[in-house]
Amino acid sequence: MDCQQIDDYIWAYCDGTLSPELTVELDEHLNNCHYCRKMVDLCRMETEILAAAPDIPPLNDDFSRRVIISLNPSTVPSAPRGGLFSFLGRHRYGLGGAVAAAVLLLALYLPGMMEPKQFEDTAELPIKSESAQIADNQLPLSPNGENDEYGNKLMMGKEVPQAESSPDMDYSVSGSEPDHQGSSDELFIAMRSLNNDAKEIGTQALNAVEKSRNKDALSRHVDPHSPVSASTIDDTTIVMNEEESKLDLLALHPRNIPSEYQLEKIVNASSKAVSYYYLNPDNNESLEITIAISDSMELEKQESNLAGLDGVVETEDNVPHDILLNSTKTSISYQDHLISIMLKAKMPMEQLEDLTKSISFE
Amino acid sequence: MTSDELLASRSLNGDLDAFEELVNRFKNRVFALVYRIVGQQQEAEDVTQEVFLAVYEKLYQYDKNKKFAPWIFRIATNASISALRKKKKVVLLNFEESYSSIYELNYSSIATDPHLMFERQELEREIASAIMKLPENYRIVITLRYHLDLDNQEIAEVLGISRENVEVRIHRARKALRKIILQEKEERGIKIGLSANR
Repeated sequence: MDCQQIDDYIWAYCDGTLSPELTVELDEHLNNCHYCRKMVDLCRMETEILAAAPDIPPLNDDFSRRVIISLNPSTVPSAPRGGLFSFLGRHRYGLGGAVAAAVLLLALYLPGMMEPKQFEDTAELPIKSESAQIADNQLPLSPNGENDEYGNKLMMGKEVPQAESSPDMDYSVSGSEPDHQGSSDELFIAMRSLNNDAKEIGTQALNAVEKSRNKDALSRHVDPHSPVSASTIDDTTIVMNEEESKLDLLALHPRNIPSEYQLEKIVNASSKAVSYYYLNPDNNESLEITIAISDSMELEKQESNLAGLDGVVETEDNVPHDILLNSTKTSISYQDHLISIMLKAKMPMEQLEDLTKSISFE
Repeated sequence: MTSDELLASRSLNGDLDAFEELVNRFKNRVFALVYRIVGQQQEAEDVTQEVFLAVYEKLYQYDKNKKFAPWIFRIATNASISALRKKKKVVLLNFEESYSSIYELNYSSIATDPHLMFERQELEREIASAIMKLPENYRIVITLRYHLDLDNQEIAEVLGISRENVEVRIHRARKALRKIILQEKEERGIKIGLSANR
C-alpha cells in the first residue's frame, strides 16, 4: 500500500470502520511513513472537532418551554382514542364549530332554564368581572375562521391594532333581537376558542350549559356599540361565570430577552399572574418579568387604551433600581384584557427602560 | 431511563411531559443539524421549533418498532432543506457527480511540508468556515456521523440511502472538507505542509 492508496482509506481508518485486513496493511505503511502518520493525526483531530462542533451556538435555555407553550394538544392527530375530545381535536375547525353551535342552541332553547342577571350598565362588564376567555396557545383564529399567524403578537412600545367589530361574528343573543324575544339570556360563543384544546372547549361549553341549568350562570349583556364590548363580541368568549374566568397568561411569553439572561423559572402563582425569572450568570444579576391581569383598571383608561398599547415606561423615582409598569401607560391590551407588565432588575434605569421597550410578547 | 421510543408513544397519547422530555433530549442535536444546513442561528432556532411542532403532529406516523432518533433527524433534515429552498434556490448536488466535478483532488499540487503542524484552534476555525461551503448533503452526512454519532444504518434511514452508500458519501464529504480547508490556506498564502490532495 502506497501513500496515494492510503488516501482512499484514511477516513475509514480514523473512524474505525476499515476492514481488519486493510487496517493491518495501513498500519504497516504508517510504521514506515512519517508523512502519512501526520495525515492520520490531522484526520483524527478533524474528527474530534467535527464531533465537538464548537462553532455551533447554544440553543436558548427556554427553548423547550417555548415549544411546549406553542403546542396545541388538539393538533395531535393521534391514533383513534374515541370520545368527544379526540373527535373535536381532529376536526377542530369544522366540526368543532358545529359542536359549539349545538351547545349554543342547546343553551338557548332550554325554556325556563336560565335566569339572567342583567347588568344595568354595560360599562360594568370589564370592571365587575374579568371577561371569561381563553388565551390561545397557538395561532388565533381570525374572524373568518382562518389562522392569523401574527394576530397574537404584541410588542411593547408599538401600537397593536384592535380587532374591529365584526357583525358576522356577533354570536350574542340579545333580548332585543326578534328571534330571541323569549330569551333575554346572553350567551356568547367565541369561535376563536375553537382552536384551543378541544377538551377544554368541551368542558367549558358543557359547564356553561350546566351552569345555565342550575340557574347560576352569570349572563351578561354587552352593548355592541360600546368600544369595550364591540371588541369583546368580535373575538372573545363569554360562556362562564367569574370563577371560571381565565386567561392563559403563559401564552404571552416574553421574547427578545437579552441573550445573557437565562430563564431560571416560570412561576404561575395564579391564573392572573405569571412571573418569569431570568439570571445573568456573568454577574449574577436577576431580571424578573411579571405579567398580570390588571384588575384595578378604570373603564375610562381602558377605553382610551383600546386602540392599542402605548408602552410608555413610567418609573418611580423612589425605587432607584426597579421599574414598574403597572400604570395605564405601561399596560398592554390582550384579548380584551388589560395586562400589566412589570419588570424588576438591578440595572440602570435607562438600560431597563430600553430593555422594557425591546421586549415583545407572543 | 425511559427510552425515546416509549416517550414518543406516551406523547402520542397526549402526555405533554413525555413530549417535553423528548424535546429536552433532542433539542440540541436537532438544532445542530438544522444549524449546519441553514447556517444562521436565529433561523435555525425557528426551524428547530417548527421541527418539534411537526414531530408532535406527525407522531402518529412514527413506527414505534423503529428507533426514534433517525425519524426525528429525517424530519429535521427535510424541514431544514425546505427552509433553505425558501430562502434561495438550492441545487442539491448529486454526490457522485459533484464530487468528481468539483472536489476531485489535484495530486499535481501536492506541496509537502511534514514539519508544519496544524494548531487545533486554527483548525477549528478553518473547519467552521469550510464546512459551510460544502454542499448541504455533505454537511448533513458529516453532522449525522460525527456530531450526532449515528451509525451507518441510522444515517441510511435518515437519508433514505443504502448503508454502503453512507460510507462512500462520508468519505467524499471528508475529502471535500479537507480540500476546502487547504484551498483556503493557499488563498491566505499559507504554505501547505500537508498534502492538498488528502
